[in-house]
Amino acid sequence: MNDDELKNEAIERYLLTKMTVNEREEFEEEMIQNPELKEQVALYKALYNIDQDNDDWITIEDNPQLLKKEIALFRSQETKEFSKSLKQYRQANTKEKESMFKMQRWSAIAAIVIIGVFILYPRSSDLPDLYEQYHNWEELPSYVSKGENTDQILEEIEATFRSKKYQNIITLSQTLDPTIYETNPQVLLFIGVSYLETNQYKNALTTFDRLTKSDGLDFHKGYWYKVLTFLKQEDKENAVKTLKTIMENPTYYKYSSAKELLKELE
Amino acid sequence: MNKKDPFIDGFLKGKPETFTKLYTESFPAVLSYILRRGGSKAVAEDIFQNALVTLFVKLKNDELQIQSFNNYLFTICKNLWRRECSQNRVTNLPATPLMDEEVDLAKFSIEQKQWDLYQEKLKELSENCRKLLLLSFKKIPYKEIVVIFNYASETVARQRVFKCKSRLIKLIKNDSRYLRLKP
Repeated sequence: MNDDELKNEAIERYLLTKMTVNEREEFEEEMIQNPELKEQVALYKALYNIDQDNDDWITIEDNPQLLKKEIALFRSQETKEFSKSLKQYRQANTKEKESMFKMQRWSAIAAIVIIGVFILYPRSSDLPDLYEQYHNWEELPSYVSKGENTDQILEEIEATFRSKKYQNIITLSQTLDPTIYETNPQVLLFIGVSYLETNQYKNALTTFDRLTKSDGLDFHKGYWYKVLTFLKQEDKENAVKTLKTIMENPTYYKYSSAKELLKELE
Repeated sequence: MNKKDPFIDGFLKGKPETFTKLYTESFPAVLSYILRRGGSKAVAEDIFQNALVTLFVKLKNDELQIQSFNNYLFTICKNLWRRECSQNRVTNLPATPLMDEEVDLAKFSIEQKQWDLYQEKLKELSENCRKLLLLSFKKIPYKEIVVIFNYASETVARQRVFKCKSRLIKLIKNDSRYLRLKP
């Protein structure tokens, strides 16, 4: 192991509290003497926040100057005014709802009955909520940042997608050279999601299936997008079935989210 | 999306119709996410409000590049919820006076900027490196990583994680935003 690897291992052992009391004290002393090490430890610590499936959030030490500037932004007149109008909107909205609830007693009783039914049979009605919660089109691959060698058509597809012109993508996909699916199978994600956004579920599923059967490294992403399609369709049975396929391999895309979602559905 | 977008413009001007859209279209998913994790409606409302204020400050003062307002808002809410849970869990700390709400949000805003930078740089790594690092950030033991990636030994797994992490750190440190954001 070289020096960097040794340093990396020491930081990991420190952060995962695997050091003995003596080792820990020595390491903390070294951090006081060596600001570079202290900075590296703070960065390693903050990197653990990357994983959004992790419920922990690590707060790192403040940079006083930066914090001072940021506080000034939050205390500025315009932020205060924005915050105030948001609070007023919330209060007015809640009051409006409360008075409606008082006035329409029978409607309220009916609502309670409906809520009761939802509690007894929560599953299928929850699926669109879960779809809202789990879909995130920002996670689709980006072709724009890959530089000069990127195929222009891919950039066009991405730009059209980002401007939410889903029907245009579908039309465009029908004129594409079929070899693009071999060289860039992930383009199928943009097409499949466009079908999904326009509620053409059958076509969406066929497109994601095509990805799962491709030779691309990311073929397994197709399973996750099939799950999203089933959620939007409120097809619990197939959503669970596809989630179980993802659970077969921890390296499959969205393995942790699939685990969490499966727990919620079962 | 930029400030010229009519929705963002309406948001920055605090137009009630924009708030109505946010509360009817974006809030339900946040509420559902928090209720499922044992939070209350009141907590979800506070988190949603704080996320909107954070987003307001970011949009007003940063050159924020977001592709979807709704998805980014949801990301901020998720991170605020994780932060809320982590703070509640830490019960053995000495009692400190209640923190000013604006100071606390300012602290979170810096942490969110760091998080955005790390996410952006993570996306620049190879798919393999990303997967490996995500497992490492989940604190999955090396012996399990060996099985998942079919590596010859734990030493190989350790070296691969180290190389990917070093690459990520280099990318982060080479970005001009890092110097501004570092502790």
